[in-house]
Amino acid sequence: MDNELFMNAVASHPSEMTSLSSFTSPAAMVNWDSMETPQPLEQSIITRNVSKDCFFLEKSTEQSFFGSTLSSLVSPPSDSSFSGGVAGENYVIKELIGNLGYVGDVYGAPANGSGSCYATPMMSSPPLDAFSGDSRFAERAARFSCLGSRSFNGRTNGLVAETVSINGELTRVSSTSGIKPPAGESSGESSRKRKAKSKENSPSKASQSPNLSKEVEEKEDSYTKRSRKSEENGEKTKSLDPYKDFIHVRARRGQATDSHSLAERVRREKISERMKLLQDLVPGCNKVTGKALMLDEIINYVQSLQRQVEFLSMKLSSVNTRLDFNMDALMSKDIFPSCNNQQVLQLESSSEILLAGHHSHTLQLNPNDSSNNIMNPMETSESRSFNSQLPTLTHFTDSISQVFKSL
Amino acid sequence: MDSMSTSSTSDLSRRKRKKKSPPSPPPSLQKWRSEKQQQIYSTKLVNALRELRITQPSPNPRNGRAVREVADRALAVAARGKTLWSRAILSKAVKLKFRKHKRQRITNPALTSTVTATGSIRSKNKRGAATVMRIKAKGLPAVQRKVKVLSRLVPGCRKQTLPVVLEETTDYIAAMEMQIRAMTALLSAVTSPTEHEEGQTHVLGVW
Repeated sequence: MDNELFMNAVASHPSEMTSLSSFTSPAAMVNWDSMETPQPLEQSIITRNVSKDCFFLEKSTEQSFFGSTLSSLVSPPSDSSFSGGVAGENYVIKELIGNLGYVGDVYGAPANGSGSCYATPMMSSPPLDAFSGDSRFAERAARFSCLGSRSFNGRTNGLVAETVSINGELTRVSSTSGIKPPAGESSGESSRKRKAKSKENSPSKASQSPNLSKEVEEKEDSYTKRSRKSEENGEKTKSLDPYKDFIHVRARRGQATDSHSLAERVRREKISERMKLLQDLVPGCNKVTGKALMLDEIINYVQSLQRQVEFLSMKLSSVNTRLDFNMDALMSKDIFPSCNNQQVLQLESSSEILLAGHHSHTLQLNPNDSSNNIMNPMETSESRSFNSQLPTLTHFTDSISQVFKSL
Repeated sequence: MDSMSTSSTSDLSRRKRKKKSPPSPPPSLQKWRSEKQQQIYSTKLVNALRELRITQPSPNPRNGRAVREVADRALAVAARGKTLWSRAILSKAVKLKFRKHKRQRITNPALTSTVTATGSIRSKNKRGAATVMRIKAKGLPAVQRKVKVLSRLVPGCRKQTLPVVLEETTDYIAAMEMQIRAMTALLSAVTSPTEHEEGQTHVLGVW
């Protein structure tokens, strides 16, 4: 609501209509460099001013500031920007920075490292040298861009995480940027609704945004460090703040920037990274490329694993009758090879001497076992043990010797 | 790494480190490969098997299936219910039991074992048939069909989206590999000593 008012107010300036489109790329905000000529300077300043203030809009706590900044915004651009005076613009900017600065302080100081990267491009343009606290301003501006397009679900402090993601998150090239998100916010807080709303709101902006983003990015390239640019291009920053319900993605250079393709790209990335994991897991999948063939391999592998499990379980069931009275020795020896050996040894050694004692030992150890299927075999083996050499007895001695071997 | 003295050291250091670390399996996968997990599973399996009452005719196919279900359930428990497939396996067991109880109440009590058996048989047939048929028929969106087949193979993923299915498959494969390792170890522990019982009281290097 406030946003629409704001939009109307700003839109009342005819020359600003063209600059409205550049809201969509808040990278324009950081594009301090594009101030060669007064004309683009005005526009960039307008956009900067406006875009800065748009992010004020969402801060309902800052309504008082909003009023002051809005008034300061509406009036000066008509004067200074059209006149083209650099000094006037500087004044406007300084004023707005002052307001911004106050607001920014409310939200806490960001990490210096993230903001410092913006200091250099700003330094390159002389008019901006006059600003005090450039880096902080840029930080805040960047942060507000992130904040603006981000959380409408909660205004909680995700700032710490955001500053980390600020480095790569300048361009909200998806339609969730600038003015649009507030409009979407009023309708609902889900990301889907927001994207739908934002699409409705600005068909024109969407068309212009790719061009602008491209040129903005080109400008950035020329001024900012190559390293930062390539880093941003290389990284797909996905912030995982808990209070957000969707993932922020930065569009790479030369790629389509509407929300559809971005969302699709995110989805494709997710799928491809999971397929890579699967490739490592499934043997023989390295040579295969392409989803279909890999899926074939995966299906075959899963089926073979399941068949193996079935086969093993059949074998186990056939052996199962002997499982019961072998169980204790097996458990102690096989399942805990490294630990508990000492106790096992003592147990087993005592069993050699006293079979009955051993049996009672084990029975005491596992009182919860259904005594039926354990005691009876035990007893039979016990009775047999007194007669002749028994498989069970030799098994126990074997297990004992193996325990010794395993030491 | 911090070669640049000016600002954005974090950027550049991140850039230098941009070549990502070799794709290491996520911690959940490493969990399945650990020895400790295998031991935990083996213990659970052994305990569960002990409680399973095996009917005396050993080549009974139902026993194999019962053991398999026990093994799967033990695996699902070892997964601690964090994954879809583990929850599906456990809920399947509960559902079958519930159905069994219902039928028990309605029909003869003597039919309990057959009920469980037929339940699993039926599902297996459906699964096998669907796999073969669905690949051939309507194979136009080939990837889609394969994804459907895969989602049917992995328990609990029938109506899930592709990324979810892939994630579940990864975990399921890792878990099954561990299951197979544990069961083979268990089998060899049971069978091989008894093979040596004649004439040998002292076994060297069996393991």
